[in-house]
Amino acid sequence: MEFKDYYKILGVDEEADLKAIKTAYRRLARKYHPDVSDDKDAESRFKEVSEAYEVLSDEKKRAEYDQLRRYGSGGESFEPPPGWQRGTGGAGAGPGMDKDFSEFFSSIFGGGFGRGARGERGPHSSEDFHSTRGRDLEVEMPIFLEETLEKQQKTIEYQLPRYDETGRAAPQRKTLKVNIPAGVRDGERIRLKGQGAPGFGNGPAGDLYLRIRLVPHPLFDVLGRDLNITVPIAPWEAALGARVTVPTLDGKVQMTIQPGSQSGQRLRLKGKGLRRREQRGDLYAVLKVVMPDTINEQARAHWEALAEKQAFNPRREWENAS
Amino acid sequence: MSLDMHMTVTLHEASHALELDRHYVIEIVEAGIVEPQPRNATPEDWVFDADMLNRMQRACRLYRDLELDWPATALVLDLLAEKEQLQRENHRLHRLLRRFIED
Repeated sequence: MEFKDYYKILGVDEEADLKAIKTAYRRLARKYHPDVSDDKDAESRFKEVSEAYEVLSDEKKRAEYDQLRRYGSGGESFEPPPGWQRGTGGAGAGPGMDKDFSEFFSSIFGGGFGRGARGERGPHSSEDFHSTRGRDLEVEMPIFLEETLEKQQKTIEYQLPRYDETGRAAPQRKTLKVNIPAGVRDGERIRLKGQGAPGFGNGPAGDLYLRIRLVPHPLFDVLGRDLNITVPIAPWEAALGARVTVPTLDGKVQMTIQPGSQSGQRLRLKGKGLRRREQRGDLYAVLKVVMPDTINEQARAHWEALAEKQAFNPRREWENAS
Repeated sequence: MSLDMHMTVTLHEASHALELDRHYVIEIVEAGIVEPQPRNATPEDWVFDADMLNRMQRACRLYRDLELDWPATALVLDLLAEKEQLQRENHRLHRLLRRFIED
């Protein structure tokens, strides 16, 4: 296993006092906290940082670590010296901790303890090791817009973290059938009680959260419960008006374009948006006037005639501005 | 077997799921981090949904890991929510713009 240089991880030197270690931890925690950071490696970086802080902020653990560091940091791989007495924790490796620290950490200090454990269950405390609730898990659930209109049955597969008797990680694949209610929103979480990581000792299993991700649609953009679709129209359709067929999530509909319509104009198709409870949002058709790729001779003559006959200056506003 | 969802939980169940004593859950609510329904109900009648539970979990992690107090935690969560909302809005407008303007 790799030797972890906690001083390097926190960016402090070996002589750093507790105050400097705290400051370094706070700075890095703000930067890499997975609830705050968009960084892809945030979670693993934060784990490293809190592990380093756990050790270096505790006088006793720091002394033990310093001793080992002198012994083992030179080589490529690290094993605790023979006869090394695991530190103050005394519990087996791994499961049940809110902070699942590295194998390196467990090999030195054991596992299953955290900062500030007290008699009551507060936001600071890690739990009583002998009866610990399993961790909550989160799984992303991609859903097509079309699928949000009606209740859907979906099968999800995910890894359930488990540990064998020796405390080694032995994850297990789990499959569940779930009913996704109609009208789910992007980013919404659905909780499946007791389907998370198994508890330790007599502790109950954690929960599983499904995080809904609406798959981007090639035609429709989501705005709350409404949808937008961009409708390309020919210049003459904008000028003269037209009936066009517009796709919606539940089939095609006919839409009337009024004569003299503008590019960017929005037309509302009521009740063709996403479902929210018993209601449906609307679909907004945004017009986009598009020129033909090529103009033949005959058409060109018509455009020229139009240019002569229609008194129109599209840049009239500029004249007042300059 | 398939599982139905959209569950809501009571204060007691939330306290259990978050592994927090109930007075901490009440502190979180009093800091305005989540607003259980119905409004103005007594804690015994509060109902939390999954998003609220998740927000309270995030709150606990931030409180503990960044050594914040509850009002600061509430502010961080609000700012993060606002940031996420602006990112979504930005993303949506980019998509819309791309439909109108060719690269």
